[in-house]
Amino acid sequence: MPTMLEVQNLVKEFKRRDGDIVKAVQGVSFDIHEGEIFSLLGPNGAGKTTTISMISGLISPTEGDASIGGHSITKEPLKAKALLGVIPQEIALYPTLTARQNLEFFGRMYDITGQELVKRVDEVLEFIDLVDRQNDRVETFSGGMKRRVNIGVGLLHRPQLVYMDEPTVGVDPQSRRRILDTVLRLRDEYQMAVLYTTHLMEESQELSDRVGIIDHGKLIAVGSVGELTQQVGEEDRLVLNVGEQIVGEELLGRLKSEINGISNVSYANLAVDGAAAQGEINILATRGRKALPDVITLLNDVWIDVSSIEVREPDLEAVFLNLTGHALRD
Amino acid sequence: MQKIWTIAWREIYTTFTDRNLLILMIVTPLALATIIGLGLGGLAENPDVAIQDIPLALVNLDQPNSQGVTFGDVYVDIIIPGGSDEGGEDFVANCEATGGADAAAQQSANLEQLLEPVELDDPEEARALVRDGTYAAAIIIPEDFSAHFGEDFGSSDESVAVEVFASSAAPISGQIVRAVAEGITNQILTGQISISATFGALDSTFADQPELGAVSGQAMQSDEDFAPDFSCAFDPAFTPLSIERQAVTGDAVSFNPLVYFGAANAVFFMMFTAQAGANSILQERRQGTIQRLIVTPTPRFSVLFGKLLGTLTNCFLQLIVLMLALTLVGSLIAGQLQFIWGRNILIIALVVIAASLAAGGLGTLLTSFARTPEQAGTIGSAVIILMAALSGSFFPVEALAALQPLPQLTLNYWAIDAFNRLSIGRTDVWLNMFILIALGAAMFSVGLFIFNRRGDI
Ligand SMILES: Nc1ncnc2c1ncn2[C@@H]1O[C@H](COP(=O)(O)OP(=O)(O)O)[C@@H](O)[C@H]1O
Ligand SMILES: [Mg+2]
Repeated sequence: MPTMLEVQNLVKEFKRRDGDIVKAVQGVSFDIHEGEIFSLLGPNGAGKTTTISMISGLISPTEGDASIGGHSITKEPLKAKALLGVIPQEIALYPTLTARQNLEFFGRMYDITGQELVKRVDEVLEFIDLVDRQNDRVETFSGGMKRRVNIGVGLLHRPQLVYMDEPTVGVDPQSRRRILDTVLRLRDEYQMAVLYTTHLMEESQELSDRVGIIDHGKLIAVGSVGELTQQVGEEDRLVLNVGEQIVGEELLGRLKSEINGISNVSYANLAVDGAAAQGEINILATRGRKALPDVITLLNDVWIDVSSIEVREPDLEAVFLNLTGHALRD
Repeated sequence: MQKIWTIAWREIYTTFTDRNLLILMIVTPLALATIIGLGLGGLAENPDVAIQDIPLALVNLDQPNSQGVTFGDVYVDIIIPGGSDEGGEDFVANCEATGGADAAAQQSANLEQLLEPVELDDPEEARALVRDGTYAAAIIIPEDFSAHFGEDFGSSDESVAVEVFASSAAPISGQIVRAVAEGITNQILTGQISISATFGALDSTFADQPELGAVSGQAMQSDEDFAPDFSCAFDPAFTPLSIERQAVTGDAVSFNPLVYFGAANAVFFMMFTAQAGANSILQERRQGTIQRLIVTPTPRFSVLFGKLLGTLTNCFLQLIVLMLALTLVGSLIAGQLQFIWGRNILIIALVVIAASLAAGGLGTLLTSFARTPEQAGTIGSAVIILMAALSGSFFPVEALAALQPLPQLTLNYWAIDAFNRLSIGRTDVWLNMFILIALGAAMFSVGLFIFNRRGDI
């Protein structure tokens, strides 16, 4: 399949105000083929936004290059940008303009004018299902409606590659479903390639033709969901909910060394800042079900209560844990 | 190019469809200028006005003419009632006969409040004292002043010149003294005979040195009976303080508080518009729209230039709308159409552009220091208010000698001064425009440099 986006060894270093250098992206390379959904999966701070900001020409790479449809973003930025549709993580619209005015304004920025502009705007309004509210100011819209306009603006010029940066963050379940369906429609109905970033492995797993896993600014694995989960082999993942109890490194070490078949153990606190701890122990083990009794016994010995247990088939979470030694969500 | 205009247009559209913003941009300054203007318009009647006791040096070098009359004494007598040795009281007393005594006395009283005149002998000393700020202005009556009113008066084509030497640091006072001098000269010239007087334009030199202006009247024609009743020379019924006389260009020569405070408020509020325009870069960054513009196939330069163009157009439109509205207010007060800003539309437009550029530069510079829109707003307001206060936009600062070079360091000063000059028919505003544009460009460049170095547009 022809290549839509080619990312070559992108590096971005930020100089902080105190003089420290933050290596946000450290040599990322990957390709996206025409008409495929590629997701960049990684925890917060992994370097996803920084990577696609370089691809879209918003910030310039410290090293490396990316080309869209054969046009280098550093050497022919205007040509490369014309092929790219951008749907930013945060809503980026003019609140006092109407939905239609926002679309028309950004349409002109993509050199669409006159009758063609009117036609494209009508089309997009249809697509995002906002024809009846097109003449209302965006500031009067609900969060979900704003998101739809935000997406619409990125599609006006019928780009061959669309990027969406964590479009479901802070979105209610219904709007979220709608966004995921939109992503699939872009590929299936409009044959667009989509670069989708997320820290949610479920989304990545559902949408992606191929996945790139990114952590600490490095791309640590690329492939289809099937290819990646095979890397973990036959290992199951045990997820033990331990509530407010905090689990230390020592116990994790004991779990790994004392029980047969466990290859990786990690602890994550899922609680939002300030709330009571919501501990979760993740264990990768061959024949996980068999290791389960020993795990429970050991935890009982040290007075850790387990409130729930799940055994999961190999998934991207397991891949991530396997590759990095820590959970995707911490 | 088309995209630059699209970006500018959005900026203008957003501004002019925001009702709250329009109230701040147009209604507030208009109301303020009108209130202050009307308040000061009652200057002649109201003793409790801000502008009073203008320190004035008066030098009378006049010698009696062939008829033995010394008109210079009349002059002195009007400005310093009872100050002239040679029968000044008589002149005022005479007025009773013509029924103008009350009015004349009232006018004198008002002049007394307005001016704090001191008679000096040496014109050079008077000029020096104006230069050092002791006096706001000096009126110097030349030796041959009365000689012009001799027998051959009617046929004379020589001009009668009274010198008004005013400090450019005290523009309002200078204007007032000039108006008073013109009024008195006119009254002496016309007296009770019919003479059409033409005044030469007030000369002035630029910048820091005091202005030198000569008021000259040319006698054109005299009646057969030359028996002027000098006591009524400064008849307020005839000549209100806002003295209107034919100047060379045919415009009213006067100090119009509506012009001064109208210009001051317009410029002051326009600076907020300019600053908000620059600040909108920070706001759009937070809003994410500037990033969204940058990822479209539009050069960064076009994005910035479009925003700048939009902001400058906003400033330009705001000033124009305010000036038109104040023209309307002035005309309503006068009861007839009055071109309070003068008639030189082209130069007025150029000054408006120069002032917009200056404000745009200032806005860019102020914003470049800030990290957040709120910070920019605070820094900006502080500087803008300080500059307006220093320039005398809220209250006349010319009396505060301690401040003296400071007003001229503000952009407001140069813009207001230019509008005031234009309003009395002067066109010598090129230095003002140069300063406004040069400072604007310099501040814009520095601001852009800081912005760029931070690299986070
Ligand atoms: N402008 C910046 N200056 C300094 N550090 C930055 C800047 N932008 C991002 N970073 C740092 O780079 C890393 C990657 O950030 P980001 O790309 O936003 O991650 P993600 O989108 O995957 O959550 C983080 O450690 C972040 O703090
Ligand atoms: Mg991000």
